[in-house]
Amino acid sequence: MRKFFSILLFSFGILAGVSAQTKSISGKVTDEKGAGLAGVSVIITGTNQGTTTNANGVYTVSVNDNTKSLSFSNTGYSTQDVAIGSRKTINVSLKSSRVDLEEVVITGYGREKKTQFSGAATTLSADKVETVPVGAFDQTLQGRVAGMQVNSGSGQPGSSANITIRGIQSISGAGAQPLYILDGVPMPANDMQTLNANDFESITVLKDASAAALYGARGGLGVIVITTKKGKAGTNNFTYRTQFGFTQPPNPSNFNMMNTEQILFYEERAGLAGAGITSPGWIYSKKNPSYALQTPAVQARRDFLLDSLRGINSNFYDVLFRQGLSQTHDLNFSGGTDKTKFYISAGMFDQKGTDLNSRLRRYTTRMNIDHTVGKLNVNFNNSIGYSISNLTEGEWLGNSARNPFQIVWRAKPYENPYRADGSIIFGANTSSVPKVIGNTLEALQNAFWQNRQIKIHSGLTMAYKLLPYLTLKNTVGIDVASETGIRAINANSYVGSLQTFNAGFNTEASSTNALLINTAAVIFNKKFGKHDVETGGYFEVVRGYQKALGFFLYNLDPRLSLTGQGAGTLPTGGTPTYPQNASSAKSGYGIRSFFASSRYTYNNKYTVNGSIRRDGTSRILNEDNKEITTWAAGFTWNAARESFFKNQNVLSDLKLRFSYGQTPNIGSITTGGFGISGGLYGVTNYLGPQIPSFGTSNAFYGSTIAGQVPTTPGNPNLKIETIEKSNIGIDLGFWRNRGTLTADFYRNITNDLFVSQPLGATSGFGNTSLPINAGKMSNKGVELNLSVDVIRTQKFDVTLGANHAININKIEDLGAVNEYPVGTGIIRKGLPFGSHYTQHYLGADPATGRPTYKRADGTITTNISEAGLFADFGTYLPKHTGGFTADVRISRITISALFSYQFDVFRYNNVENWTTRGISGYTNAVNQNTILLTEQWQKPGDNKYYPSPLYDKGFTSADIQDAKFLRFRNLNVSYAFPGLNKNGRSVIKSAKFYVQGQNLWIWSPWRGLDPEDRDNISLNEFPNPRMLVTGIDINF
Amino acid sequence: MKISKLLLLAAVVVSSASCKKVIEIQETDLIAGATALKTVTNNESAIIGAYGGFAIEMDILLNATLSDEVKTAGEFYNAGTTHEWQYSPTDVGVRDNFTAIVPQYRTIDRVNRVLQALPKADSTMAGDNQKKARLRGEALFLRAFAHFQLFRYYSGNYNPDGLAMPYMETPAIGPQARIKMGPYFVKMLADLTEAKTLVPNNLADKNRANFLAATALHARIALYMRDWPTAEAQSTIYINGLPLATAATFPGIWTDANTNEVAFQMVRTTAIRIGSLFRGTSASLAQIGTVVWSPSDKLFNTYDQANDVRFNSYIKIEPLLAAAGRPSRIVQKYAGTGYATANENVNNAKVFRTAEMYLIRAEARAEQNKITGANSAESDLNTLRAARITGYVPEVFATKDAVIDAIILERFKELAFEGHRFWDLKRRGLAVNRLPSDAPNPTAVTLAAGSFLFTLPIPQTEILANPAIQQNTGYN
Repeated sequence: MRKFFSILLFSFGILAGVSAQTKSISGKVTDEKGAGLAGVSVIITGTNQGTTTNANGVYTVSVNDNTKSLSFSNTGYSTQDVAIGSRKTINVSLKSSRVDLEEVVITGYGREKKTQFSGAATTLSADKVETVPVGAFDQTLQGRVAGMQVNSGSGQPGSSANITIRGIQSISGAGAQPLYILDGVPMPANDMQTLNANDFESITVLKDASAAALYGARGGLGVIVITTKKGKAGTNNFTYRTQFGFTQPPNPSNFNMMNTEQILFYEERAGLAGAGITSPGWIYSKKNPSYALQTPAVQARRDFLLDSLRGINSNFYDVLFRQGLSQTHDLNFSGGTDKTKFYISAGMFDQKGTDLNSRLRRYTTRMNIDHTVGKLNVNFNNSIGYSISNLTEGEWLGNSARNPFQIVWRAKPYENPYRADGSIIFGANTSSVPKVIGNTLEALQNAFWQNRQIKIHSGLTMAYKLLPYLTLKNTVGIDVASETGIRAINANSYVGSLQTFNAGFNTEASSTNALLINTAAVIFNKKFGKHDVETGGYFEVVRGYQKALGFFLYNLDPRLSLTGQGAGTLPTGGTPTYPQNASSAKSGYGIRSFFASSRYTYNNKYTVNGSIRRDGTSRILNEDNKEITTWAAGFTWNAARESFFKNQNVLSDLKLRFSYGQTPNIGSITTGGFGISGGLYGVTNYLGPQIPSFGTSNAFYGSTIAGQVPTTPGNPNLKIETIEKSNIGIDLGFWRNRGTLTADFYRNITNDLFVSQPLGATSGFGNTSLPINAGKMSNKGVELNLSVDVIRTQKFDVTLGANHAININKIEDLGAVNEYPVGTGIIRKGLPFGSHYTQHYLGADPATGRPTYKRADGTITTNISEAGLFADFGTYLPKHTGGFTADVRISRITISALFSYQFDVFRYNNVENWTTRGISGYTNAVNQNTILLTEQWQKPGDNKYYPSPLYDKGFTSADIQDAKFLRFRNLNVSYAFPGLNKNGRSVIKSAKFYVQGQNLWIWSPWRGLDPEDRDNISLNEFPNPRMLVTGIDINF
Repeated sequence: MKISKLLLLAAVVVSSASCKKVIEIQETDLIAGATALKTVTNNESAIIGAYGGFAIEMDILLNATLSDEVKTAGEFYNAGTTHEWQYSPTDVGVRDNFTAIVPQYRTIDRVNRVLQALPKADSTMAGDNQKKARLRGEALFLRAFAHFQLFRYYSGNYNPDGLAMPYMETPAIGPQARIKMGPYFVKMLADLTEAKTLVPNNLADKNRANFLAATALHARIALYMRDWPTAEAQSTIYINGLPLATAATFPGIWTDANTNEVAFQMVRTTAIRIGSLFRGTSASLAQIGTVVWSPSDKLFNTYDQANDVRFNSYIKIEPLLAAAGRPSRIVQKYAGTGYATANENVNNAKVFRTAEMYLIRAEARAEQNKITGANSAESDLNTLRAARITGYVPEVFATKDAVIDAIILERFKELAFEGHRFWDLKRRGLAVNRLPSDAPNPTAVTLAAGSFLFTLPIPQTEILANPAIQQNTGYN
């Protein structure tokens, strides 16, 4: 969309500095169907002078003798430069610019013509990510690219999504992210909060071996290549954008938590059943046998207390979540001459999350310059950003009663967190006088966790055309993120008094992560008649650095907050030594690659390409395994160019693509970590898992000498796992490409799989595991992408798109072993990764109310320790993912909608487990689910799912739920204003007003806030917010 | 133009030249590999770490609860599968309490890393070379001891062709198959023999390996191998070096007032309370900790309560418990400093004692038919009893069987709660015979002699992680 408007404004181009005009040129500008195009900007190339076409597409422009060409540009169409020569009439047909992006594939090392491209890749234009009100752009990619699963695990503004391309390809490296390349320079995943996606021009996802071949060992899990906007010759574009809106917590209603009346009733009922309830519903109950034994005064007191509680029915969801304000401002200025082009921008983003403390503020600038002097082209892209993230205690605390994301479900509705004067009621919590919400609120007010990041991403590319067909090219890039963090609790607070030494704490830390890259290349490119050859030799070095330090202070000065100043001394506890409350660490790694790639195209019909490379990395310890040689090859048949194709009108494009290659996977090499005091940051320990590491041990009391013991055995034989990727693709175009269908079939086999395999006791590390290379994993799948321009007229367009992907993962081999349990799942030969592994719960025993389970032999038992463990409950990684879009334009109004979905996916619902557990331990501490009122066993003969409150059903298959969903991900309704001219000068070239919603609605059988996440289990999660914004883009 | 060209070329050249070492970057902040065991001092720390992983508490609990030494007191009982011999390779009772394979091989791995690094360790400080020898000796001693422990848990009685465990001499992470006891014991004895020449030949530090400790281990190994001359010779060396305690000093051994008889002990603090194996710690005198295991009636009844100094050191009839209506017979051997005090249930673990050496020698002499007279089984037994029982009248034994029965009974009494009983019965091919009053139920009175259950199963987790290892008979 942005492009649309930048070009639109162009059409109102200002005539300025008019010089001698000696010639008048006129003509008509039409679209591909021959209809006249209004408002097309006709610019004298190299100047900012020109005109626009009238309603019929006709123009007249005066040029001087020196003018060589005219430039025609319009919204949604590719700009065309046309040489004038001696002509006086120039008619031009503009092509839709959507096709433009589809014509090339940006692999990061260059732009490849799609007709010659044998790989599997999907390119998204900027309008898919810009203006979406999220702090990390990767969140916008869900449902956009077939075969790319995008799941967000947190509603914290600025938190990144978890991306999986074509399935999990590694066991130890499960969850490792694809490689991100921004303007040719890599950047870390999960660190997007300080980048302004409004500067992006295109995002290309490279999925197979051939497409990612040039990234080699770094691109094993796929590559996401981003380019940023460039200035255009002969234009001056000034754009201001702003956006205001809200983040809202998702609808909580489908959890069916008990209200005060229900939970008091349930407590009494469970108490009567003898479940050992200590909550007010039972201990103050008239039905409690102890009631009758009390004095009338005590009885009256109990009645009064119970009555008072009955009068409270709090909704903590509204107390702990809020509607957050969100605003952005963006300015950019672009333009240039045919020698020098520039794009500069500044942006500000401020979003408050739905958690009371969460917020992201971001300030960014960008400068992109492209300059050509003779044979030398210099391209310099820079982004500098500063962000302040206020994070929520909840995500730090995890399983804690102070975590708002947990306590919102745990707290009993008869707790009243506020006094009449609005102050918070906090202090010691008991089951009859609950203060958990009050304590959480008090802690939220006195706890602080903030991360400030300075991010620099900069790349300089120099290309020198030594000969017309030989180019020397060098790219040097820097990506640096420097962070300071603070996490503190005020000394002068109730929560502060509960900390070690009873007076809050203050921990601060600093971390720097730097990534440097240099790529040197020699590229040969020549066409001989029908032959087109390109070949390149590359040498590339990547160097990463990490450094962090941190400290921890206790016993703070209660007069101050968020500072270590005034912190008191600490007692030593009588020991002769005292612990260090500060630490630091550093580490780094390098990757060195030599590679060559070649392509040969015959007559634009047949293309063969191949690449070979040698990657080496310091991340592998073993000298013999440090370097690895791999290759990839591809073939493309552009059948649409064959003569037999010309005799029909239905198919307008037909292309077949084949590729095969191996990509090593450096990203999945198991690493360890160096902890930093306070835990705000860590430093990666790259080689730790490959070397026997030692730690101190004080387990021997027979000596004053400090002991040390090996903590990990280290696997010195680790080598890089390799993924063999095969892909067959077909691209079809129908009806002059108004309909397009792309289908890809792939098979990826991971060899020398990184497995965290349990160690035998003889290793000295029994009951622990070690990363080794063992076994094989496969991912097979199909990806479909369909787009149809249902209606395309001057006033009314309808475009529908859909993508769907099926991925089938299977562990083919595990080397020496056949299976091992991991957490709540099992890694087993023959099963997909992520398979759940637990007892099979069958419901309550009608006779006794005990929980029943299936034994390994299929018989039924009421004893969980006799129950078998089964692995037939599905996986937490979806087999099916996809999305569909609808874009409708009615004159100046455009409506775009995106839906995304996943199915064949199952996750544990831990919150529901707690709220349906029913036994005393849970009933006393956790509010329960209304389902227990009707579906719990109460007397012999009851045929119910939930057991008697006397018996615990545990954590079993009963808690695995279908997590499929269909999400109304995004809706954007915009109105394009016409330009504004005053006294013949354009004041506003164009403007757009829009309303946008993100995460508008979700349909899912899942009970809880959000079925979508990156992991096997749902617990204590910061839910993804719904976002509603209105914005305006103005082009001057 | 030319400048640009030069700059470009320069960039290419510089980038190529500066990257030779980029794939050789090492971790600079890691205590690992060669860095960790760089000096002799570092190696000594690693030996200290290895001692820290070595313990005999598991032996004490196993030999008490699987045999007839203890009975459940009825206050807390979750050891049904082990106490009633119902275990399988997946049994959680075995998994949680008796997975000996993990800690023993952990100790072995720790010393193997020292043995590997020691020859190359920097020895620049005074005394380093001497210390190097000692550390090697300690490592070999611990390696032999840990392998012997594995044999006691996971192998049948000594038979050169029977299955022992893998004998680990270098750190290795791959699957390992079990080897036969013949070569296993050859390796064990080689380690021990060399250790004896390297460890200090004095008792200045009883917390670490010394010559007498290695000698005692040798005597014990010989006992299990039924190598009677060696058992007699080694135990004699120990007895000559460290005499029996007197009746006056004997109680002090158990309060850690003295270390008489002991050549090697594991110092214990509040971090490891041996006494808590039998009875929990107390909140107050009124709330004495949960009595988990009481001495069995069978054991209780074997002592001459009035005259045998061992009775009051090992067992207590607690009037406070009796008054509270709780089981009042409790294990006193590791009671520490008294109820509800800081060091309640804290006592050092005595690994080798002179009394055990007397009993080993007595058995070895009996098996060599030195039944009666001077330097016989009878004389050893009488010497020991005389040291323990006031007014003891020496007994005369006529037959080998009679004296051996008396020796096994004396081991039951003398070494109760020290980690011997179950293995003594296994070693001698005897049944576990509980009194009906000691058994938790009628099916748990007797474990038949020679039952496969005398040998623990290899845990299922190990079978999964190490496919080369063989399960013991009876558990498949």
